[in-house]
Amino acid sequence: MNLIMQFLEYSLIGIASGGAYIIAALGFVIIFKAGNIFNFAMGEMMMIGAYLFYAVAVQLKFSWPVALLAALAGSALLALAIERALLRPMIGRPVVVLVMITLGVGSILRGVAGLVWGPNIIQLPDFLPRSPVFLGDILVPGKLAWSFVVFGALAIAFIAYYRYSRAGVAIRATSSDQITAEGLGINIRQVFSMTWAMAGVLAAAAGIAAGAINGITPQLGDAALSVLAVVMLAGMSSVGGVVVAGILVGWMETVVGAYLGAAWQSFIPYLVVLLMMIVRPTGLFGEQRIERI
Amino acid sequence: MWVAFAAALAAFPAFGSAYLVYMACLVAINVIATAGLNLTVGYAGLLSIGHSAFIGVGAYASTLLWLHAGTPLAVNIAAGALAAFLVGLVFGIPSLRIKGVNLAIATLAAQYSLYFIFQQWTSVTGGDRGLSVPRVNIFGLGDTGFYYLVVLLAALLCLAARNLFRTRIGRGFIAVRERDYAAEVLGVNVVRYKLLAFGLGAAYAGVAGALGGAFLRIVNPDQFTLAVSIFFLAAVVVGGRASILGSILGAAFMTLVPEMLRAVLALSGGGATVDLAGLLSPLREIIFGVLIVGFLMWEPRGLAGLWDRMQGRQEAIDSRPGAA
Amino acid sequence: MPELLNIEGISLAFGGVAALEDVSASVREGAITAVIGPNGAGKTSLFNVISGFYRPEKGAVRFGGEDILSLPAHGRSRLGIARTFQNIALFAGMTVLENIKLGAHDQLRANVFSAGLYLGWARREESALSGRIDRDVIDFLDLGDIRDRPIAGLPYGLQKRVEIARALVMRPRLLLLDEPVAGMNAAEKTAMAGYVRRCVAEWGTTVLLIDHDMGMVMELSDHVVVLNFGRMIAAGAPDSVRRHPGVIEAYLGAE
Repeated sequence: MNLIMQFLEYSLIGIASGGAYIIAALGFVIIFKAGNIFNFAMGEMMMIGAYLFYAVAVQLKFSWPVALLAALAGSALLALAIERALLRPMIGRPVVVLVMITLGVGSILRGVAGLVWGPNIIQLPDFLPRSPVFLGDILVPGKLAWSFVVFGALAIAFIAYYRYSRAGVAIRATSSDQITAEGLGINIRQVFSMTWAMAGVLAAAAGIAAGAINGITPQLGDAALSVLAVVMLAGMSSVGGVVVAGILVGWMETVVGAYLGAAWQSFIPYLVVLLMMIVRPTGLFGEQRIERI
Repeated sequence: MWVAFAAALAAFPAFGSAYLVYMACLVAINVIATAGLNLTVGYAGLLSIGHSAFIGVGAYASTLLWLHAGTPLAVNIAAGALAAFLVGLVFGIPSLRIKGVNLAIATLAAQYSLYFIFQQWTSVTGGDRGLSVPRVNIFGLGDTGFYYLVVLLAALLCLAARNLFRTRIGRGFIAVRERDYAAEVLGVNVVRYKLLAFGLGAAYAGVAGALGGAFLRIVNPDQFTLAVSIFFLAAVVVGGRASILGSILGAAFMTLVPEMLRAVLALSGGGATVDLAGLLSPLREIIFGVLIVGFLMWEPRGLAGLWDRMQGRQEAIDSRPGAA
Repeated sequence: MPELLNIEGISLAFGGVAALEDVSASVREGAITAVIGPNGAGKTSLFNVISGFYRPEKGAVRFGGEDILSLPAHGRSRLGIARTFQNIALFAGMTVLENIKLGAHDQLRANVFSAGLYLGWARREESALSGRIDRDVIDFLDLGDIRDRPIAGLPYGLQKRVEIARALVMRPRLLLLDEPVAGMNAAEKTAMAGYVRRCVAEWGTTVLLIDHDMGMVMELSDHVVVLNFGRMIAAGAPDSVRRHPGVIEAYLGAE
């Protein structure tokens, strides 16, 4: 296979793996938009979602649609619990505090997962068609291709919901101006809870995919750092931009990994973040907020 | 009261076992690093999640100088501090344009970049294997000598940090944290102070790194990961932000808790079929997380706040410097 | 008396919305000048231009004849320009005295090393400053009781006084007061007006102030400038401005 075809193959694989990133990044962004909270525990929420799926599908031996539902629901409940119990009381505290709380939560989740399921990698049984997808001479692994399709659909559904449903409008109003939103009758607390629950669902979906492709360990949350790069690239406030950024980051990682090796691959998300910070802190699509004195 | 404490510290090696002296050295080193981070995060309000990278810079710089130039320990430590200071200045540059969480993320990215360099620049840093450090002998007293050195340095550096807040430098940090626009109008060069906050915090970390390298006799990238940065951030928060006493208490607490945990597990597990090693790590993470969240929610001024309350100081002010 | 501050044709816009349009004014040395106008007229924006937070698109600001727009915000206090803020900009986590000391920040010389060491040079500098503050400012503004108390928890009126104390530490040539009596009762307002008059009388400070309390403004000021929708619509002695038809309309029309 000549070089161009190889590059194309890597590119397609990269784009496909961006699917999970997009989903997790959407979860990040809506929490941030509504409550201005940066959820450093997102990766761990993904991880717990994956473990829940494993627990229900393999350990409890239910069918995988049931397991999927259980994982999504469980993750949403967990997210709600975190929001209610830990973050709601801390509104108004300085940023350090909020960041540290989510970091602390992440730590707790990792510890719990390690205790319950142990530190070893767990492979999920295949529930996505394995057979590779051929585009001409190019081979894309089946799991990836299918997960991309699933996530693409999920992302589109989510974005449509966000743009057109009443809930979505409520979220956007809250993100833009909390006080006015409340004045208009929007129940802000409900919006907060809703965004966290949604983020929980999205995190679980992304986590299950990541787990299906790479196996599940308590460190699965480390992948969230790539998601961070996606979010930073898009700009913290842009839902639509996340899709573009997700695909870009997925593509970059795979291509760099293929040509420069694994170490560079794990470095790429950080490089992206650094560059964005220096050049354009609001990301490609984010909005500029002017601070009034 | 402080005199008694100082006397106890001085006499400690005579009473404590080698293990306890070892732990004390570790605590002292961590105190230095925590105090530095507190300068940046607690006093100046700049969120830095990349502190372990500075420690690494100090460790590598001092060790490399030693290995290649054979310079005495004092010079190596100073070199470590200087190198870390310069890197800290560079890390601080994003803080001029971005605040809060975005800054945290930038520091995170910068830290990983340094980790990447530590790991990949094999010719200089020895890559994953790292560098091994020859034994150092202070005043010919071996381990005890090292203990005195470390404790002395920690005490001096903590004193210096506290003194900063009796002067315009410290006030400048706090002003930048609270309302940087007002600080500007008062003549505080916010750019310079933000960079200084990063640089100074990093310099402290550099000293800790240099000492740590000499102490553990090995320097490798796994000592400078995100988990380590979070450890120090937790030490700052649990001990008490913007408090030197808090830095001391927090560092001691965070260093000793895993040890106490291990002791508890050994006592209770005692020969059972439970895999202790496997339990230790996740339990540590849970306890760290619970400590962080717990302190933030219920004792926002940290251990230093508890101490103040025990002493009868009831005021509910946030982050008050000069309390210790 | 000469003009200390000259504002010449300042225009400032935020993303297409004009905050200030071709505003010109002069502030005479040793006099009290007030800037008034309905909410959103651009008064604080004008102060922010003088302070250096906003860069105007057009115009110049001359202080003692020199254009200061090219100076960064933190370089303007050295010229002798001090300022207070609408929402009290004091620093929590420090005492009253420490906050006031910040007013003299760029007159101090301690660096990281001398500060860390403290004994000797830095210490002398600090005690000298404390002494000066006690003599000049603490007594002047009756802050003796709360000198060493933390800022948090102090009543509003006292905090406002501390903020002014901070501004006065360096004996500024120009004092910008943004709503110095907002939220105060009558007694506090009278006291504040008294302090301002004393500054001018004893130290020759030039004062430029923003406020909504017409009674106080008219009584205190030598000269009044009126802004509306970012434009200057009147300037002159309090009595003539009070009767200016454009001014009356601006205030009534703003209902």
